[in-house]
Amino acid sequence: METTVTGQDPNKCVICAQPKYADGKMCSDCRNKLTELSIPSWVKIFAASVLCLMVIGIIRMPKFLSACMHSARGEKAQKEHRYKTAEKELTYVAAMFPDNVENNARLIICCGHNLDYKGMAEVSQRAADEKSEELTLIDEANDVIHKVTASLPSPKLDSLLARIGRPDKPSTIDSLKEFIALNPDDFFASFILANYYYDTQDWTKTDSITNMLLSKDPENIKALGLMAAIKRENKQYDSAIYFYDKMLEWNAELPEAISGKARVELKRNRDGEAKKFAEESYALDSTNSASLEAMALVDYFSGHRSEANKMLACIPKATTGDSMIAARVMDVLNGKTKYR
Amino acid sequence: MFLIPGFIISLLTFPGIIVHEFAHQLFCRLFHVPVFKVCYFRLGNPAGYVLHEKPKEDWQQVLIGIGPFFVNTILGLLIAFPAAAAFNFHDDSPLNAILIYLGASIAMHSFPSRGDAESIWKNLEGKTFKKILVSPLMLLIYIGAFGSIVWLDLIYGVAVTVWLPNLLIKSMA
Repeated sequence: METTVTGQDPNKCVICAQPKYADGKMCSDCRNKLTELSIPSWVKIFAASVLCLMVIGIIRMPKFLSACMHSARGEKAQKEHRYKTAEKELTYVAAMFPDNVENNARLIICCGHNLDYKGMAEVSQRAADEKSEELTLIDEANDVIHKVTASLPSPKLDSLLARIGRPDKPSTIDSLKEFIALNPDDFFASFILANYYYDTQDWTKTDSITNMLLSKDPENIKALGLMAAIKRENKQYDSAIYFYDKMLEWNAELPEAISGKARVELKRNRDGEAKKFAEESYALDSTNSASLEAMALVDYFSGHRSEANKMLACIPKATTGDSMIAARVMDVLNGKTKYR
Repeated sequence: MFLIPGFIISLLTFPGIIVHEFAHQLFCRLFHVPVFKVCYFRLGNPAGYVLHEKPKEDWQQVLIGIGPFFVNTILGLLIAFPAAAAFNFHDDSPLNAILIYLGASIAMHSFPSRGDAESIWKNLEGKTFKKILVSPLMLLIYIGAFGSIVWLDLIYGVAVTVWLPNLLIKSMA
């Protein structure tokens, strides 16, 4: 509250009662004295104590502020389905606060969307048994874990594959078919079978199995990717782009989908567009085999053979993908396979 | 409504009252207005006051009256900011709790009191046009003053110390 003082004898200073010799109700000495900012000692001590606490808080702040900024950027990117950026930002936070449950839950969601299963397993292990009030977030993270687990080989399938080896011969395929008949809900078994038919260019069977997988889980990224590849190989380029875009709805920064679009554009001789997508994918993840494959193909078709070979040499060292990719690209670069 | 006697609230949030009165004093100093007496805190009504000469300009009186709104809000925010950032990562150390308490108690005393409003209004006696100009401000001050019955001051304090830092961080990110 503040109150103004008015009134009293107009010829005398209201403070010292001396005849005033300045404008207003006070003499100039009193006026000067009273306009000074005089603060009692106890208020100064109080202010100094608050200031001290504030300084300690500020000294401790950079770590928290940096974590908050990365966390806010991560959350924003996650909301926009830019999971690569989100994972990168949230990894910074995890480096500072490895036991923060909310951050770990977000990180699990991002790793799942980025097909980074190794990262997801690491974070899940760290976050196990931790409690949080953010139940929606925890439920979402658990959903992602469940989805990822369901689309990976089950222990039963693993033991079958260990016994029969890579399912790329009719004899081993029969064993796989028997397994699927007994385990119709095993996603990965059906997916391997669809891949086998894809490699043997049996489009009707590949299409049928992939459609079945998508009817069970319309957002399944592996099934969407395979469907896009089927469409691309059957010259249904717009449909192929449609399926890659469906993958990008799920994760706008998925190199497998962006580089897939580059491969579609190469097929239909739109090399400029293809280059744009390949570079975008490579910028997002230069260690992803799909990005490297797209770059190698774009370089090859634009006449930059040495660059294409450099990209090809990087594929075996890539953090994602399988040995088939390098062999596939090598066949194109050697002229063994006609890509378009 | 959960009612707590005013003097208990004043006692619990005394840092805010000290800063509030200091803000009035600071604005008086800024405009070279002589200050006769400052009561930074007491267990009474009002819990604090500043006695000063009438400023030369009417707008100076307005700014002296609403000065605490700016000083308390900014200071409350600055004090609580580091703690609010730390609370996001469940760092509930005593220092953070103290900083949030200080920030919130200072920010919740940002609103000018009814006494401040009356002082501004009294200064404008016979100046109808100026009264019309400041009446929206008067209305806001009265809303703030009466809003304290429904804990508007506390809500404001918490918003400044908890919600605003996070909003600032998000906008900077």
